[in-house]
Amino acid sequence: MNPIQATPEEAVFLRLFDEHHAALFRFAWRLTGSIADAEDIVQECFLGILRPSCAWDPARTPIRTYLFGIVRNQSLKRLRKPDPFQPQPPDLSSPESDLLRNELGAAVARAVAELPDRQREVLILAHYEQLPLAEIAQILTLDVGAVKSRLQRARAALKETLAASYPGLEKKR
Amino acid sequence: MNDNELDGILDEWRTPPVPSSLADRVRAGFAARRRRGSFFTALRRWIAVHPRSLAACAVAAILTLLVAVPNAHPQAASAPPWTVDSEFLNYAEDGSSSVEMLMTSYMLNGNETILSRWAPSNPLKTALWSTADTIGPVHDRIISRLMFGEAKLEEIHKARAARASRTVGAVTGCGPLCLSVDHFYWERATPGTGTGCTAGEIVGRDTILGHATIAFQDRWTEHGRMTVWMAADLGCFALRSVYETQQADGTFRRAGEKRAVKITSRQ
Repeated sequence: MNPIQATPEEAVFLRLFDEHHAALFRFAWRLTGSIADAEDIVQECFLGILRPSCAWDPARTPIRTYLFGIVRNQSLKRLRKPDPFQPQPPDLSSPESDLLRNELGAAVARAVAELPDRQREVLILAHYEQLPLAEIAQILTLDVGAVKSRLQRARAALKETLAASYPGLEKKR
Repeated sequence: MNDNELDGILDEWRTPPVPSSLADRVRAGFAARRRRGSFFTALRRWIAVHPRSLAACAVAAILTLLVAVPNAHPQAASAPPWTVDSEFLNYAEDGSSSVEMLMTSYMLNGNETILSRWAPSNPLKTALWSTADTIGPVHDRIISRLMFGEAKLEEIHKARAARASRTVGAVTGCGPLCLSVDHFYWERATPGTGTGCTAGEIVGRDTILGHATIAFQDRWTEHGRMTVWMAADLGCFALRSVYETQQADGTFRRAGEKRAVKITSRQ
């Protein structure tokens, strides 16, 4: 009747997966630009916590913070540059608003991809995953001040890039 | 461009859906790891080396079970003030239903705890479940030690104990053979919020066996949902749960149900 069965450990593990995999996948995809890579990274991340060598210490780090840290490290190893963020081929049957959305999304993806790695990961965690600055600091092993300043620099750079490259962007929306 | 405009534009960068294969791959990876360290693998190797000892061990195991089975289910240290008899139904695609399991349970520390369970008109299955309920926890303890080690296991137990005060648990069903029973846990609502029991949004109210219940919904499987009716005056016991799977056309089909049929006061 219910798919979550077998041992309590498996139930706990699957519940953990259920709670966090979507956010981790989004984060990995936004860093790597590849669905296949993001899928591999998230799979490895979860199976990694089962290994005896797993370094997670529940007393020191919440599991979400630990998982984001693993995904971040794995993503940086595989990082690819902007190709995957090129606009999708337009679907001629789509309404015009969909085409505009695709175009805007691709423009944003390119602008984010152009950010330095350290700013990009802060921006993704803060804006798209809505993580608190303190948690981002823990994931990236930085202090909160450094996270704040990277976020401010990333946002300023994006404003400049998007406004310069796509002057009518706000109006198109 | 101001901050709000930037936020709006950034939101236009959407992510693709999570591939459905991811969950399957992780489950398979979990199962493979469990198999590698499994007690049964070691047992098979041992049998291959010591075939003559197998019969003696089988006799010893049967004797152990005969002693252990009567203690298969967790018993309350003191008699619970009330118990609930529930039935678990499976629904076929044509809408017909069959009772899969009957169960007597009660609430202990915010978690639904089983006193006994049995399969209607199937004593063999009932005996199998009793055996599984006896062996399961022992097997789990062995596997947990192999998987996590003593130190991490201790931390997990502490985390579980801490979680018990913050969550409400309910039995939500079992697999095809029902060898193990499944639990779901929800964050307990802070006073005056959510449904009064959990943090979820209220989707309905009903009176079940004379007890007011509040319903909320949660995800069930990747493409399904469950609706749970909890009675606040019974310690947030789930008196009813309905499990539905989403069809290709977006509608939901009832796949299973847990239904309280009797509440017995023991005071």
